[in-house]
Amino acid sequence: MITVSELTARAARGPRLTVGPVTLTVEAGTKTALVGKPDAGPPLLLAVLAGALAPRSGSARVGDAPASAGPAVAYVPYDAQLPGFLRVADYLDVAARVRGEPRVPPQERLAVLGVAALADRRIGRLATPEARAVALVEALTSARARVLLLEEPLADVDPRAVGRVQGLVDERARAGVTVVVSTASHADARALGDALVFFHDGKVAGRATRDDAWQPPRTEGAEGPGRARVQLLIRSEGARLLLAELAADPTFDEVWAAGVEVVATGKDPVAMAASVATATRHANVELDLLTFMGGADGET
Amino acid sequence: MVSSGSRGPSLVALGFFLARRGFTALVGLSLAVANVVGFGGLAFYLARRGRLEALASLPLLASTALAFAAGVLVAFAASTRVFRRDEDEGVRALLAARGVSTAAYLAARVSGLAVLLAVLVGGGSALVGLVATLAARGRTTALHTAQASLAAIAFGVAFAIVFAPVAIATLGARSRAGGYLALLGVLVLPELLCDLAGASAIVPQRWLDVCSIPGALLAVRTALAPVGVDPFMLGRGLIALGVVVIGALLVVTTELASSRRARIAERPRP
Repeated sequence: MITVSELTARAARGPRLTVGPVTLTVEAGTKTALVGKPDAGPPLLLAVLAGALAPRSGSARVGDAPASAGPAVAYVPYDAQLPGFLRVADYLDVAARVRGEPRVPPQERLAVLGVAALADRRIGRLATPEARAVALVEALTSARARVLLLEEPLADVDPRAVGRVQGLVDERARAGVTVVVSTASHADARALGDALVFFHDGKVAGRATRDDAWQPPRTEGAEGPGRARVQLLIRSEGARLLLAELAADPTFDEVWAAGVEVVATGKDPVAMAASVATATRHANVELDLLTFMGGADGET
Repeated sequence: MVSSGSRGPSLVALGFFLARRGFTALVGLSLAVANVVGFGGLAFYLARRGRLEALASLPLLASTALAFAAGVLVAFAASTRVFRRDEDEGVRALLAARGVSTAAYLAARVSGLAVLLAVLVGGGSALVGLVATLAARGRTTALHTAQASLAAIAFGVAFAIVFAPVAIATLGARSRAGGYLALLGVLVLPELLCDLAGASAIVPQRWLDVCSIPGALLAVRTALAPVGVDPFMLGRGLIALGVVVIGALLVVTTELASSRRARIAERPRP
């Protein structure tokens, strides 16, 4: 079980990113998605859980021990630094030895994500999506890892691998491995997490289960006195960029994307429209369609 | 950090693998092979010419050549800017992400290089000694050559244990030129200072031959070489080398810490 209590942390370098205070519990053998833009806190929290970043206050515990790096923790940050001078097969062997786990032929491990062809390639010569696939293979096929901490495991990953990540994550969770994913994509979060924790401005902004999030937004006006829930449908080629912007905006209750469409729910259509305008400007994308649905009278 | 104790052999194997990487290391290894082949051939040549008394000195000469040519070259290649290289190339990240502590990383690096040097110098000397012993005719010559071979192997192992931490301490966190000068200073300066100290009688006469690293290594080998064994000289040599190893390990730890601080200071400020 992962227990985070009143935790705050700040990025050791780069932009002044912070997270917290955050209190969170992740049961062993479950899949949890931390949802929010990269500067909203999930990647920092993941780094703390991996022992790559020390908390400024509060605590993070994995099992009975303070969160720290170890052979039972497999952490794949978005920009995982792999030894470029090694061949992929050698890297997997070295990593297995360092974890203290039995050797499995690298080709077998790579084949799990459909990238066995990379075995003899030098890591330094891989394209970024290929290198990310290799990092994911090492984590997802590790026999000793009991906690998987994955940052954006479906983004910028080799196309041969990306379709298999979800199945493998499910398989590992069924085997009792605790999975925590950090992502800005609501679709990815729903694909990978049973529990979703939404972050905004470094703090937990909401929680949901995957089933909750998949339900169509309710329009029957159950959201409080005088305010019905409004659903907003946006169609844009830059849907993913918009998603990242809107996910961080407290005007919206829920935001998710599917293909070129973004669906967002909230209670104040005027504020929502203004937020979409701002997000469109920030993300520098064009809208093909913007539709409001629902409201007190259920009109479109 | 999780204890790395159970993963020790794997970490040493990784250190060994890392130590033999690169072109300079390859040149050093080739030089070692050439040395062994050359001295082996020389043993047969001397045996055929009937100069059997010279056979016993071959393992000793081979160990010196292996240590101070091939061994130093390999150690130089494996140690120069090793901390920065391991940071840049992701080796530190690979280990740290799997809970390998800084101490275990250092141990892997030092012991990996030590094993490589031991194989190179001790193993090479053993091969030359074996060939020379087989080429020797007559029991006495064969025994002398075998004893010289053991002394050469001991010299090789001692060289590996001492030189690995010394090389990483002097070269690990410095530039190529700065590291070279530091290594040269560590090897040569004590010898010069000992001469001065000996002249002014500050150091007891019997300790003068072990107050530099090459001197202490040669003392260990001489103490074990034919005809007899000098336990006092062996003891003095081992004590001196032990002090060097402890000092070098302390410096390695400090150098790694300062190297990491320097890297953090180089990073862009938020």
